[in-house]
Amino acid sequence: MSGNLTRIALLSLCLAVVAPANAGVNAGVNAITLDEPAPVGTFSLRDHRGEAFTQDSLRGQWTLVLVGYTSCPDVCPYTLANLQAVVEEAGLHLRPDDVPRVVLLAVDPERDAPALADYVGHFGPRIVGVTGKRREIDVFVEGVDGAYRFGKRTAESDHYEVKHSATVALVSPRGELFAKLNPPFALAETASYLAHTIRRFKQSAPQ
Amino acid sequence: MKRCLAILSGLLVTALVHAAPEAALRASDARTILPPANAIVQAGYATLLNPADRSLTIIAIDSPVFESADLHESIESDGLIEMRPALPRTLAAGERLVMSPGGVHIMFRNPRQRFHAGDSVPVFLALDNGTRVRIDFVVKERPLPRSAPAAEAVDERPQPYVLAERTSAAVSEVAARFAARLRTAGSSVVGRYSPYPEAELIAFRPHLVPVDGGDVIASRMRLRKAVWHRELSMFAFGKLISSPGAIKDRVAAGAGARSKSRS
Repeated sequence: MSGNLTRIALLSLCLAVVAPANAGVNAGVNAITLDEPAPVGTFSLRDHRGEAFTQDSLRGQWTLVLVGYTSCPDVCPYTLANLQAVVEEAGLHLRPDDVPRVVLLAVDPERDAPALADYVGHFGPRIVGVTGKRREIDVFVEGVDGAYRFGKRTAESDHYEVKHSATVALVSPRGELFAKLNPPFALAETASYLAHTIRRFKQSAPQ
Repeated sequence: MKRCLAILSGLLVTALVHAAPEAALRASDARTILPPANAIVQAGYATLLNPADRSLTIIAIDSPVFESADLHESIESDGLIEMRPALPRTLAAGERLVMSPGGVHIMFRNPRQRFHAGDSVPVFLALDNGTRVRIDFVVKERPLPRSAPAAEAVDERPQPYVLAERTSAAVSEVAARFAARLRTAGSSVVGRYSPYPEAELIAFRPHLVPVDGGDVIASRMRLRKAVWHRELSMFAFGKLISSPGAIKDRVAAGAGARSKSRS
């Protein structure tokens, strides 16, 4: 208990020092950093090129994970285009191997699997589309603290929609959920938040 | 049904369109964004203005180059984004409807042809007064995201990630204020209890929660607790708790403990 309290006291001290610097960096970014990064779980999926994509694929680089689906006309394309721009902007402030890549975790495999390569390629060469079996998808979704739910098929057509998380997860090179970003993903602010967070992570945990 | 209505109203009022010299509805900036190859859906956006001195209602939308067209609104609710049907949509006299990504949009489904940037797509809006308005949507490349103007970029809401707070105010008052701050920051407060005198525990979900009509969708959600530390006169945030059931149990156990201690 006394150890805990010491830690809390220390943290509050740190906060006093860090907060003013953070306030500038985080202006316009609504991000939640986990105080204890959480492993994303164990799953086996395939990316849009057909290569295996597991929890180990997340190691060694930063990843932004968006839960979505390819038959999404408005929000997913808008967010993917924004995230692509954000990582390009963050790339101006980071070493190339520190720049996060973007993963679309496609939760509607029936429609997503055949469309995934065309879909992610439309938004940028580094965007990775990932999908697979429902159970495996669910592990990764839970690992990034995301959620989704299928809508009902309408009587007049077999079209259905999918509700999905609004947030984007930031996964660290250790394969742990590190932070969650809430929309809107303002370009310059989100990019500088990422650059700042990633640089600070490296300083605190040299690899 | 909507499509039937659209066709029906279209048939009924073709003559009326010619009879009415004034446009019933003004549209500007009508565009549809070129989707990825082989996409089955794509979005259209426009700014609509009802210039008349009485309200009008859009009851259906259709386009000859798509199997269907619907007015939708992307809405974030309990952390999930969903598209809700937005027809019929009434525009009050003089009202302007600005469609935009992440908000109100037209969802076009199953294109009957391939498009190229610069193409024009005819779209018909059926109105409740019997008019059928044609709007030509221009096919555009996806615009490059830009930084928002500085004035809009500043978010003055409290950041949710506060580790601790020192104060000398009364515990219950601080707890209430703290819970309000958590809510403002986008977290949802599950409950509060006082495990021992002058101590308050706020159970909250740190992130947006996937619930739908009262059903928790995810089987496990990470939850956190904020604990008031009497010794330090401050709140500290606890570890992740693994399930909504666990947090409910703790809250219930806490409430039970408190009522016992009071009795």
